[in-house]
Amino acid sequence: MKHFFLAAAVTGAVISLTAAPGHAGPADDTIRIASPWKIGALIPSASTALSRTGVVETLTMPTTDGEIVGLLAESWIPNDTLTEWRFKIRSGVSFHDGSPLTAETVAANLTKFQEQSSLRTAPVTNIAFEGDEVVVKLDRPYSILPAVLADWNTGIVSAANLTDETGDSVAGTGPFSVTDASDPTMLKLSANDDYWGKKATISKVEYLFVPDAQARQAMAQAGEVEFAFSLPVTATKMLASADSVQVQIQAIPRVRALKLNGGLAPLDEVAVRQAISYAIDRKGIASSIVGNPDTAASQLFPASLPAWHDTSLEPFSHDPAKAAELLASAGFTKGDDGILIRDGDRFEIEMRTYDSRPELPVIGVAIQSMLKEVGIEVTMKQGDWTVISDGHTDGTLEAGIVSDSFVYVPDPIGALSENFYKSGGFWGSMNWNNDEFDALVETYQRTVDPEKLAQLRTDMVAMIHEEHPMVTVTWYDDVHAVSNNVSNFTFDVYERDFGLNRLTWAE
Amino acid sequence: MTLAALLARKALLILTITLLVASCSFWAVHLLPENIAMQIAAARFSGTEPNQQLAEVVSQSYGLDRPILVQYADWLAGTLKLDFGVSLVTGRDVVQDIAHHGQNSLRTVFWGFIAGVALAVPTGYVCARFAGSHLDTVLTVFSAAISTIPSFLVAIVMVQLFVVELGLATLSGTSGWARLWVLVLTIALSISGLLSRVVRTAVIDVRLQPFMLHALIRGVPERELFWRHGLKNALRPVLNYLPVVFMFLIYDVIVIETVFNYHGLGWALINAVKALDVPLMQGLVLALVLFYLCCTTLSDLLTWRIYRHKAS
Repeated sequence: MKHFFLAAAVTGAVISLTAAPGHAGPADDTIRIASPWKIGALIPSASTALSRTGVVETLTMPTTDGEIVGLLAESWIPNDTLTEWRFKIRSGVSFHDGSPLTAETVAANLTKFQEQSSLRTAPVTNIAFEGDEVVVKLDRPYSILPAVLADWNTGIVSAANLTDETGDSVAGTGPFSVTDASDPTMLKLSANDDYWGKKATISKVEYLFVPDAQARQAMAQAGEVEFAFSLPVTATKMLASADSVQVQIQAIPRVRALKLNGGLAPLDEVAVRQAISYAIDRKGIASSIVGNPDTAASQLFPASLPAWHDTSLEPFSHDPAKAAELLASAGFTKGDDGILIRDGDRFEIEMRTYDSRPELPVIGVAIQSMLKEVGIEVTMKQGDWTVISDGHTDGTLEAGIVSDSFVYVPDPIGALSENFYKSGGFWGSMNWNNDEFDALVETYQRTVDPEKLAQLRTDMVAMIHEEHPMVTVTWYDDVHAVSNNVSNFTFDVYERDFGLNRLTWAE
Repeated sequence: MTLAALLARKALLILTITLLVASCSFWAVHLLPENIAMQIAAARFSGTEPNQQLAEVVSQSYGLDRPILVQYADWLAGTLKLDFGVSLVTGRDVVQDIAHHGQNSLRTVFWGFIAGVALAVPTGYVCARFAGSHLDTVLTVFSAAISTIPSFLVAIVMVQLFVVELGLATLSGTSGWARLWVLVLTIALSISGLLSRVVRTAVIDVRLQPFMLHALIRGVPERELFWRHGLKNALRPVLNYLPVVFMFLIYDVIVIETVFNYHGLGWALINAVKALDVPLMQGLVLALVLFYLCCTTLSDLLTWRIYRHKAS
């Protein structure tokens, strides 16, 4: 027996000596990223990783102020009616496989991925090339085409990749090139020495797909990775004592909202929707469920989108008395069980939630009890998110808790035109059908004058603020951990580029 | 029973169970009320919230708009040829992914099993040898505790202790002892608890057999007696218990790999299910079932080799 314990002790000692972990950091000049987003197929329209790590680039990009500037396109001009756009492709750029970037390749990319990328939302009729220009023709005026072409899923890959169906490699034009993609859960990248723009100072990147939030947090805490994205809100407390990482909270233009069927009585009345909005305690939801009181929405767009955030709007407030008053003047009276009745109909609605974002059903339950206070009976139905999309399509949805980003197309008009225009979209309004609003969207899409655009934005936001086609509940935070070893990192609210080529090791 | 007959029977069993499980997983997915094309669109085009247009693109390109029986026949024909198709999410060959992840799982499961047995057998033997002593009580309480705590909880504690606090292990990569030892230890702990109890009982039983008592009274030294006559008899219940251990291993593969972010079959399965990557999911389920069946067959063969009769 003695021998056994001795052997165990020796083995233990040997293991702990040989087990010193390979610490990430300047030693091997590698940035490691723990990401909740899967890598997926190596095509730009399927993998956020390619754009975010700087492997592929798009024709245009948004600045932090939301202005659209050129990336692979040097410049562009529309015709007078905004139905034909000419993008001049940057010269002297080459793909990672050595082939040059040409207008022909760009046109072939846009054509091939048209249906899979944000381009499908634009009324495109033809994409062609002439010399060093890509010519996009549309069937109606469309001023936001440059913004659509900044979406990460419109990235450009080399001509060889377009015809190669195996998809085990990809050549873009960005500051990093893929060196190893044999592991479906990891991308190994190295700096592109021939990059046309700001060359990376850190030579290698490892992008790791780590679906479990706790694992990402532990990896950041142990110093195994330089970046960990989408951490639980509790990470701020858990990592507070760790001296090697900073936890940053960044508001991103994504909302959690109560979607309402505007074609269904009594939700078709503005006053009723306003009453629902007054009945919801956003501060309470934001602090106790989301974990950050600052995420309580005061209007549709958060302050991180200054062009769309209208500081002159009166913030949403929690005022059950006002809600009761609005409902009373709409003709409702309280029944014996405390539920409102009008013309013999009880005010009851079914609310659907889905759990791929785990906080949504919890928010649903909170709203259920808040609405009960003012006399609206809510029954819950939970499933996956297709209960929303299918319910929207077949018209059976009454209410639902949803979440969506506004800036996949870096101009929120993209999301507005998909989610609020006409009868609405899965992640926005439903049967709202406001002609005045639709006219504003159409005007916006054919306007180029910045002042007029600003006025149109104000009008659209005000209209949604007043009429509540969808009741905005909270905004969104991304909680991420950044190692103290790196400097120069700024989080991209458009979720399209980590800016890894700007990073340097901290002194 | 001859070896050939035993092998033939096992092969038939494996084939039947595999096909049954595979068909179940096919129908389970395709009979779900959810819109599969939409789900896959979301998985494949990660990052965007999907819409109907995308779903239609997906539906056509994967043939999901064909009648379900046609899809089933197609799939069955492919499966019999060990062709599981390509992953809907990555576009890679499913067999390639299974090989990649299977290799990782085998690495930890193999060492975890060895370590678990190495931990359980001496513990059980010591308990039996000193049955009723303080040592026995302490070890009994310890193994009872280990086997009642769910292994994901053990795994979480291990991560917090060895990765976060002590920095003695890592959560990225798939090789190297710095990566593997905590995983191996966790798997070993999770199977050793119950296994050591089985060993203890088996050894006690054998020691109380009349032939053992008789020899003891005749003055044969206990250690010699046990190795010569006791071991073979004590091994029998332990070997019979192995299929249960393998079941625990499968469970561990799924749960522990997820907590440790270890890219093996279980981890891949969880993510394939989340993404509704049907071909990959079915391939992985088959791989796990096959793994289990092969392990139990091996233990049956071992039993047959030792006892030469009543192998099944």
